[in-house]
Amino acid sequence: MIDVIRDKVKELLDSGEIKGFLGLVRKNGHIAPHLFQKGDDLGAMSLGDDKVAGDARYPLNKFLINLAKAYPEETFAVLVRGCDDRGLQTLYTWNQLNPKKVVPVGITCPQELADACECLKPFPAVITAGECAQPGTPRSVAAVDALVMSERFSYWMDEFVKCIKCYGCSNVCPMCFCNECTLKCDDLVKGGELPPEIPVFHHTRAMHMVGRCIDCGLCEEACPSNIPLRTLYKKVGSIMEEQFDFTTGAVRGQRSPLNKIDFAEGRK
Amino acid sequence: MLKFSGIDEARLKASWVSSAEAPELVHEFTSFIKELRELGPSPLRADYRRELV
Repeated sequence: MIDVIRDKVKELLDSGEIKGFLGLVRKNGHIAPHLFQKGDDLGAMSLGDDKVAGDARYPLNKFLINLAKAYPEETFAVLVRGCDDRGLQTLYTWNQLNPKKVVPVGITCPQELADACECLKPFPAVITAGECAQPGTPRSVAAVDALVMSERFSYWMDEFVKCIKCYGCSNVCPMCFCNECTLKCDDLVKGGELPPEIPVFHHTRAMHMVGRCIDCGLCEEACPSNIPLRTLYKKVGSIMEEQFDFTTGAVRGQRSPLNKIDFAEGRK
Repeated sequence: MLKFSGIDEARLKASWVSSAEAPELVHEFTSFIKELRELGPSPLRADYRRELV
């Protein structure tokens, strides 16, 4: 799979279509984000599979936003999985990236990763390399739904109380791009208190993930306290599906139904 | 989301009341306070931090 990606990237770089390819590199025993440019050695390129598939993923779209801001005239290619692709589509609708300046290089996720993520679409819209895996089976949300109310409450409170308010979840989140963050506002979230006010802190983030969370699961991977954040945001996503028939990032150009102001102004 | 977190949905209420409708506003408040009294103290009143520190 990686050879196909290398060839594709080389072709894009040589043709001058893109200024650089934002992907991953294996360096000094670690996998890290890297911007490959024309003439660079593509030999150390990685697809984010260290010991098991997809265990070294990064929010590449988040870095791409910064790149695009610094070089607004340039076109960049970026390595995308199914979740990153949903992220790109959503970032386009939020005007964080210009689709004309982004060339996605899509890879599919293997079945084991799709199952672990309970991912409903473990492949991007345009696939450069790889075979489509079957969607994972949703389990985590149903497991919490199966609990009675009092058990649910203590389950979540026992998880939330572990929070050390490191902001890892929002720092790693490719969809967290606001300049001002509610969770970093002193008047709303009191500084110097651990854990933060629960469950309000986590519910606030969950509410802000409505129509934004693309279910990449990086938050849960980043959380040093292993709070099952992904399950919380998966629930948010499932409510959006039930109520509005909207899956974040699934359809290109489709805005969140909560952006009603666009419809009022007659824009699309 | 509240239900998913094991919190009684009846503890949250949203009503649209115009600033010109004072009696309506009072009614909303008094009836909601009555409902909350019946539900009893919130489980969130327990101090979860103290157990930890």
